[in-house]
Amino acid sequence: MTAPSAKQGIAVEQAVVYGLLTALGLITLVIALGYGLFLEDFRIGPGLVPAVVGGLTALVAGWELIATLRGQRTPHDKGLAEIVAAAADAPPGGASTEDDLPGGSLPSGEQAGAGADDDGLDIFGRTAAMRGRQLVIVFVALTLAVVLVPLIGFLVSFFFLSFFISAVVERRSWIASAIVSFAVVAAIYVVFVLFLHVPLPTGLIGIGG
Amino acid sequence: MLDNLVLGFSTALSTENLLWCFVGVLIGTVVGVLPGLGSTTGVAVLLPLTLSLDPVTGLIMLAGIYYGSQYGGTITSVLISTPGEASSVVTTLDGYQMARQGRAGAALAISAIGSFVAAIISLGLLVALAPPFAKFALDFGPPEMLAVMVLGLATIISFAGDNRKLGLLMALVGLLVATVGVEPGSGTSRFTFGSIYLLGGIPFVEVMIGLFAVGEVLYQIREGAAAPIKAGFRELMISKADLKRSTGPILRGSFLGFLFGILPGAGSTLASFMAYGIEKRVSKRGHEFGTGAIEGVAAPESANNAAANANFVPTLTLGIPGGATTAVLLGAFMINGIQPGPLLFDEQPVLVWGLLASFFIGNVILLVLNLPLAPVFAQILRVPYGYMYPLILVTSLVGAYSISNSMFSVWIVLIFGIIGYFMKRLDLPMAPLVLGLVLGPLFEKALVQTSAIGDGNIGIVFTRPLALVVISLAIIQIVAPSIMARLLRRRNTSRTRKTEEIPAADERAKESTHG
Repeated sequence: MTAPSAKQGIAVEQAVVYGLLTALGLITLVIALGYGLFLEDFRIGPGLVPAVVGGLTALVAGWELIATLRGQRTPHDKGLAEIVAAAADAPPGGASTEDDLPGGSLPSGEQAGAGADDDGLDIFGRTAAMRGRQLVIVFVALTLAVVLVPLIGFLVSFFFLSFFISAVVERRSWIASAIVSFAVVAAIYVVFVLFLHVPLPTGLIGIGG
Repeated sequence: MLDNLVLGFSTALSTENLLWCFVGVLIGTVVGVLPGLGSTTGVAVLLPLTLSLDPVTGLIMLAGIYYGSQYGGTITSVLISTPGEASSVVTTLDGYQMARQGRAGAALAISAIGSFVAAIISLGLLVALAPPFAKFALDFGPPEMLAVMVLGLATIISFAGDNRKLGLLMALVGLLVATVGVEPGSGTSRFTFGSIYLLGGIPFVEVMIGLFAVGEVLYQIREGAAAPIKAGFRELMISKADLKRSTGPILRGSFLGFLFGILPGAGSTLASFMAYGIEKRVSKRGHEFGTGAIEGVAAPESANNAAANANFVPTLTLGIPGGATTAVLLGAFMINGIQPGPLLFDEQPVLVWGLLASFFIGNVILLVLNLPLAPVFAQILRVPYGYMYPLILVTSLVGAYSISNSMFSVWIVLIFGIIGYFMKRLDLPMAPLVLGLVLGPLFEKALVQTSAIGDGNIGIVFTRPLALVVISLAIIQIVAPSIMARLLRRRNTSRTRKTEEIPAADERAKESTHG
């Protein structure tokens, strides 16, 4: 379902993530050694658990890193559930005529989305690259909204966030986006401020305290 | 026992608790319907809302979301072959086929009935077994607790993902994150880098909101919008013959689900897969499975509900969560200042029995809601995702803020949102991380105490018979899948020349559709 470029992209991301985890494990191990592994008479000290866990993390992540760098796909060995389900499975049927069935993820996933293929277009005709850009835009907007909270307050900042995502990123109608965003913020004000008495930051302009 | 139930029902039937139970199961159903929102996300995002409520009331509502979502997850599995919950993945196999044959109504009805029967059976077992188990667990010392936690981690590593090495890695990362903050034994502050915020550790509800809500939303953006659904609806009625065919599967699914649910770390997804596999073996109509056999809906749907309830056995009696959602619920207990464990039944009878009684009431409400209204809930899917996900994002961040009234929580959510996105993208299993994070402090405490008992020798774990048995189970869990896979593969290759690879669930769904 994915073109070589997409696979390579994933492999690069995998290598980076495993590399970071290896580094994290090693750093943890080194720092933990400083906390002291054992107390008097070999009782467990504050450093032992982080050191062992950090060391193991570095080991497993390092192993995966090497496997990824050598171009080996991670072998998907199955757990008991899949094995039993597979063993009880009927032999696969004939030729496939419809490939549009959304698939379910394995139990590891919280859910399975019926999303578009990595390279395919989604229902709005957006390519994977466009969706990748969208993701970055949404994340930057999200971070910006959080940064702006001390300045313009929680509710104002998140009204703009919601409006920006609906109207600009998702290209919904401006009026509908404004109404939905206002409704969201109003509902949050009612629930959190009026009902739960959460002192949301109001920022310098002091809206919604 | 009867006194306890009376006490429980008198608590659960108060107007306030009844109302919040209703709200909980209703939200749970909606959360279950929405792909991209699982029960873990639902409970994590709404947990902050319940902090102003009485602890009993708040927990009743959160638990309602949990088991309500087990019902809701089925609706989309059947109608659009997109499970709203991981535990409903296996239902897509036969449920969606039934829907394509115009029998969506029967499939939804049987899963609601099966879920209900399973809930009542498993609740009966829960009520009967939990208190004696809690008494039994009173004798558990740190070595036994240590062994049980190892078992929990082993279970979740071997079952939660399709790659055990990655499961182990994620559990380790969870344990690692859990070591941040002041170490309780010696008071040493670890990995805080001078930040006062980190002294209390990395708050785990915020981590969950980040991983499950924000990470999920980001992942959905990258994946692209889902195809629109056309949920046509006819033939709501379920026939007598259907009911008769389903009785056996429902009963088997219920007991099997309960058995798997008790295992710490297992949970309802595993139970539903096992129930489907086993039902396929024992059923006279096993060969019809995958083509729209009602047994293939009844068994896993009963099992996942039974397991969701059984998950409360280790959570309440040992304080060791059964799965990711019960881990968040455990967090809800702790935020309210309640420590689940063997003493809970004696110390908090009103809370425990009120909660258990509310399960009965909640399931009755769910049956009433789901039998006629399932298609109505399916309409929620028509809300465009472009409006939905800003709402989820904003609610997650405000919810996180309200836990501690500090922006620190919001930043934690953002950071773990990115981490969650990459975990989903790279197929790294989340459940082991969550369990590692939750069990981390408990694990270390038990380890330190064990070493103190043994005068520096943790080997005493192996001198305690019960701990030894539990540890052996854990080892079997880790080793057994490889051995079983090898045996099965040998048998399969001798039987057919078919591919050696075990087809993944999505491929099975496709294949069975065409078969």
